[in-house]
Amino acid sequence: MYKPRDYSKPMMIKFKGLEGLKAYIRLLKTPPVKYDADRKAEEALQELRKQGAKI
Amino acid sequence: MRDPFYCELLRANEENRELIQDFTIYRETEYARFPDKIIGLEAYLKFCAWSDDENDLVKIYLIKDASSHKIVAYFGLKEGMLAANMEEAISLDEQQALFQTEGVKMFPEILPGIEISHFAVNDKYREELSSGGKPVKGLGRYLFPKYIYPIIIEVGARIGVHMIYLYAAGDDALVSYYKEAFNFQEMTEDDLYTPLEPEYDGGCRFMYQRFYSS
Repeated sequence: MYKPRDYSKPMMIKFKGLEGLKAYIRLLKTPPVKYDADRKAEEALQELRKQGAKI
Repeated sequence: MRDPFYCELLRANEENRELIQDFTIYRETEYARFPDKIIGLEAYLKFCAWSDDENDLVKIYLIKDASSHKIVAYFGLKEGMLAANMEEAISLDEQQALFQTEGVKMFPEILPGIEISHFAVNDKYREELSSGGKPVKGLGRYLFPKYIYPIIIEVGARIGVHMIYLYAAGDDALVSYYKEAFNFQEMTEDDLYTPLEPEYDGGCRFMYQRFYSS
């Protein structure tokens, strides 16, 4: 059964031990990703129209 | 072509106090009746968003239909960070060995970020948007790159932001959606981190994205 999160409270994570430190380093070393927002938006708009959305 | 939607701050318009009362997420409707017990995304908008925004805890945005001015979706953004402080002590030797193995020359103990704290589409609007058929799917795929991402890019060009991140609400389909549609990555190993207050997190999963800020 679906149970929503309580969005009135903040979330934060803590890293655990050596494995956590490895995860933190992975975050640190992750390179930026290309995200073509204009193209993604245009594709999504076309898809909405294909479904018959009145926009 | 004219954009079918527009975005405004929740508190930019006093009428929004009334408008948000019509915002509906069907799978949360039951919980929204008992906001003191579970604050899902629907109940949050109706009962908490205004005051949280007013107290600078989050900035809430509404996306509205350009013709009818009905609420299409809402999202919340807040400044955030991740700290390297560990729950368990790690010896200096272990740390140094790991840094050497991983090729870490510079180790910031805090990574600044922007948290996408809330993002939800109005189910009633999805129905109205369809031409009498099934409610349309994929509105979020349009709204995220069109309205949320540009704010993040703008902020990231002015202040240090290492990543954007969110806590996906414990649902495989949602996690896959964020990966595929918005290029988020999941920190999959459950034992690598713990939420600060797991009793209310609803099984949320941490996801992040590094982005080009300029």
